[in-house]
Amino acid sequence: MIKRILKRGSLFFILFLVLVSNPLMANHGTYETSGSLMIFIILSLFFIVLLFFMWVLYRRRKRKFAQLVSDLELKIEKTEKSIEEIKQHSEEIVSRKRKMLIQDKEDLKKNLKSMQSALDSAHESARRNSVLLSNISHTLRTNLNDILGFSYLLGNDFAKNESTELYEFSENIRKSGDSLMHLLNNIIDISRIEANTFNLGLQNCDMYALMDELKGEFEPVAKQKGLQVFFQNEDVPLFSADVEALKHILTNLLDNAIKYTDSGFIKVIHWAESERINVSVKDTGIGIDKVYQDEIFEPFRRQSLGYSKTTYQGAGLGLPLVKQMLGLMGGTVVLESEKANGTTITISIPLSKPISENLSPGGLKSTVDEKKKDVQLKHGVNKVLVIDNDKLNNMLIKKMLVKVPNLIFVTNIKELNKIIENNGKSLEPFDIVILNIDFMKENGGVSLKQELQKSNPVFKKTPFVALSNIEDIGLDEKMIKAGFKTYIDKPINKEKLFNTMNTSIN
Amino acid sequence: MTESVTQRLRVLIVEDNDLNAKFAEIVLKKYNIKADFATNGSLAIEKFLKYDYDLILMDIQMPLMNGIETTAEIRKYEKQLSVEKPVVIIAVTAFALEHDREHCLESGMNDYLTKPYKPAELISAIRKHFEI
Repeated sequence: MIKRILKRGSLFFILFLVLVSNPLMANHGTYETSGSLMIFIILSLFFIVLLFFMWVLYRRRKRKFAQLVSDLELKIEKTEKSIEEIKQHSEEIVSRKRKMLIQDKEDLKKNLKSMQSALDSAHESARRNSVLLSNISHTLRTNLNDILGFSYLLGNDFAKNESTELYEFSENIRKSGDSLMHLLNNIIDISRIEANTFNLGLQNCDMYALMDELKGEFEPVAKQKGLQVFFQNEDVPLFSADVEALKHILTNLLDNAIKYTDSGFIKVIHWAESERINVSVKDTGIGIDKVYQDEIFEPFRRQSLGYSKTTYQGAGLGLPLVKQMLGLMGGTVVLESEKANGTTITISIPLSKPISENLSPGGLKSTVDEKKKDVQLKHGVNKVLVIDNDKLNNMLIKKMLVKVPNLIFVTNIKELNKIIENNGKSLEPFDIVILNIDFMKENGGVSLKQELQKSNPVFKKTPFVALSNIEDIGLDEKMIKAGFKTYIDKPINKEKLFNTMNTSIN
Repeated sequence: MTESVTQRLRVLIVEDNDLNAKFAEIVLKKYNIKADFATNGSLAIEKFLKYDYDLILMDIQMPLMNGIETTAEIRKYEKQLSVEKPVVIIAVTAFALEHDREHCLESGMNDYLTKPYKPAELISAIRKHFEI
């Protein structure tokens, strides 16, 4: 801006010089009038003063400008400084944060480790619990088998003998045992569900058979309470489900229905509808208060808790178990009830396709394999001697040679000598001798055979079968060289034995 | 006719708990079925080889040799013997889980009954295989 002013000033100056010099030039040579000189001088002076002022002004502006520049520089410096500070600060923050993060990471690692070990020990204790539970269950069941079984037998006998009181006593034992059994089943199942070890085993389910079974079980119980039980069945196709679990669910529902109904009836209906099987169990019992209807499916939440005596016994595990089991089976449960006005519980599970039938147990499969073999022993094999100290194998041979009328087993030398001595010269020759080649000691059978054939003419022409405890390549040749007719190794089977014997006998 | 069949039904009870064995014996007796006993698996195999049985009631948890091993062994022997009619083996056990059942059937048992059982349950399990 100052430069612009100066420029403008010099422009004025030149203009002024031109304007002034013109009259001077016009009056050149006359020098008459000192007036115009005077004017010239005054104007010059004026101009000098003006110039001076302008210079002063310029100086002042320049100083101001310098001040501004230096201010600016200062500001820039300051800004740079603060930027530097911020930079440093932020670096500090970053490094501090990084340290914190590293610390956090380490802490997390430590936490993870301790959590892992906690998880491991939880798994271990869950495993131990399930082993303990399984052992307890096994023991309880074994003992309950006696309690229930013998009280049942007692009850039967007392009923037969018309000892009413004793019959009642034994029935009481049996009923208590039954409810213990029921509780045990529920506890085991609920703990298995909570430990995630409840695996569904799919089987084909015939709803009618299942209902018949339940009818047989619950009708007598209901009858004792003076209740009637109706079963109403609709056509339901065969489907696959965990039949045991389904039975357990329905057992719980029926058990509850009978337990909480003092008069009236229980009605069980099942039907199939849009790919689902539904079963509803309706009773005319005490019902469930609306307030409790939601929590009745939570474990250990039976209505009326505490020490106060209730008319109805039970641990309150039944319905929670029903719900959880159904959850695993992809099923649902609906409760409709009103206090003092009966209860209807309806369950529904998917109608899954039946599984194919050829997954039958191994015991049946093996029967099929065995039928194709049909080797028969040659006729005329009447007297056989088996020399082997392997008693189990002897039993097997005995079973296989059941049709041989005279079958003698010898398990030690004493027995053998006895047979030879007792018969003396009247010892009739054997049709075949089966001899373990390692009888009593390694190769004991081989030397025994030689001894027998040397000392007793009866054995001279008898075919000997070498029986070996193990399969050994080349052993058969060796044995034939040693004078055996044929060779057989364990494990023996009927086909192998018959074939061997058939080829040995001339 | 039925009676003579029952009399001929030869049963082996393999059970280490003598009260449990006794109970099974009494139940069978009510149907005129006489039973033999073995208190562990190896004794059971000896008896199996010594005598002919139609039916074996097999406990699972036993000392020395458990019921599953015993059954597998018996099935192996039957294969060796090429028996025409394999003995019917029903597990009678206090193991009551689904995989226990599977183990039993896999080892070659024909059926599975959990303790405690009612006399009628034992009889209906037998009736699946025999006329009694």
